[in-house]
Amino acid sequence: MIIRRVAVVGIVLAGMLALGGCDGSPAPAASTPPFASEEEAFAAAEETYRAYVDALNEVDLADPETFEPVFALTTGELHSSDVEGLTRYHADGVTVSGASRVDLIAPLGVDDEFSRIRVAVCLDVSTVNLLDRKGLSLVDPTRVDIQTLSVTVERAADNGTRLLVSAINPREGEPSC
Amino acid sequence: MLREAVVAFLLLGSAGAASAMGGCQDVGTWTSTCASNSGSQVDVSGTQHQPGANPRPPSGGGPGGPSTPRDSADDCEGIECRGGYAVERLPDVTLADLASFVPARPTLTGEPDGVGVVGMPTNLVARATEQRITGTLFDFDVVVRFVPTGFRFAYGDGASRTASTGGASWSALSQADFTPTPTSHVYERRGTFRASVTVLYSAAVDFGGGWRPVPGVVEATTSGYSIRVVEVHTALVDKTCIENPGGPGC
Repeated sequence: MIIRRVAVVGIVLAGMLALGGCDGSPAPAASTPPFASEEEAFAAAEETYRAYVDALNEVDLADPETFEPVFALTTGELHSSDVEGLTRYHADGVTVSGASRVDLIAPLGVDDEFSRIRVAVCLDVSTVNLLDRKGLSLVDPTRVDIQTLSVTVERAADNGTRLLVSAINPREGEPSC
Repeated sequence: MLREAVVAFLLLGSAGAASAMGGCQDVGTWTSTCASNSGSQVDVSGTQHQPGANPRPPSGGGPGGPSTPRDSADDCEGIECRGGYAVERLPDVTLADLASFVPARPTLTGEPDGVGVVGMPTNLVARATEQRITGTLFDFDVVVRFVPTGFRFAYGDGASRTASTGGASWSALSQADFTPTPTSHVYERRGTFRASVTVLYSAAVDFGGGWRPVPGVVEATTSGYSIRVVEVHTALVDKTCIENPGGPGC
């Protein structure tokens, strides 16, 4: 008699982390750095990212006007994917409830001109739920409660001091979430 | 004989994957885990211990069927069950096996064929279809399904665009030539550009018990579509080039 026992122990991911994360938007032309120090740049990046999370928390998928603050705070690939994603949710009659909460923000890196700043983020999405028209949840059952993210913030193309969120990437290592 | 198999899905990246961005596309990371898991293939790997020396509790619901509770009669099959003897078992033999599944590369064409005009849309069209690839891991049949979910075009001049479709020709879209499409691009300068497209596949694995999604995306890139971008100037002339070989454009 043969007893065969199969245990799927996990889903192991050993993927390549894509290197750039924010390709596509041209780097702003060189000019005087808008920030006096790295600390100032990180503080501005944090403020921008928190504003982006707040804007997402204010989104009513039935009302596309509430998407505008999100779009106004994003650029590059993130802008494209947010436009596409929110528009699709709206068209599909999806509803969102709950809110994301920023648990941690820490500096990761900044380029010489302070035009591209990366911060480590722990984002608590545990209360966020999306329901389709039939009331079924669209949330992947394996979604983690706290997302471990690397957020890239860039100076707007108009070369001012305005910062925009340009990419949200997965992150490994410290600070852990 | 008792055999235990431990199976894991591996989504492996490859150095050749032209991955320009790995951002999490999910709005607000609302619905799924933002994970560093883009790769070029799905690897389903397993280890198998035989004979089953050290019974271990199952650590997950196996797709190969419900785990059967073992009773003492099942255990008493090998030599170790002969009463009154102390039996020293051989060390576990571990078999490792791997089945790799790579989705097909997309096709990439454009119109006008191989040519573009500065300042006007050049239309690129990529095609990729859902694929199901079967394989065997130990004695288990496994099917991996790849569904194209996104197309990332790199136009060769530094610009890129991610579209949910691979695009279609102007005639299929019932549009006039040189009009913008969801996958078109306007080149700003002359030159020869090599465009590429990366298809983002979502993958799922089935051992016979239903589809189990593999988190992340699997990428397949086709590159090398060459586009010669030219400038077009129009001029009103009063003589043909034969009549006036020195005229504009002759």
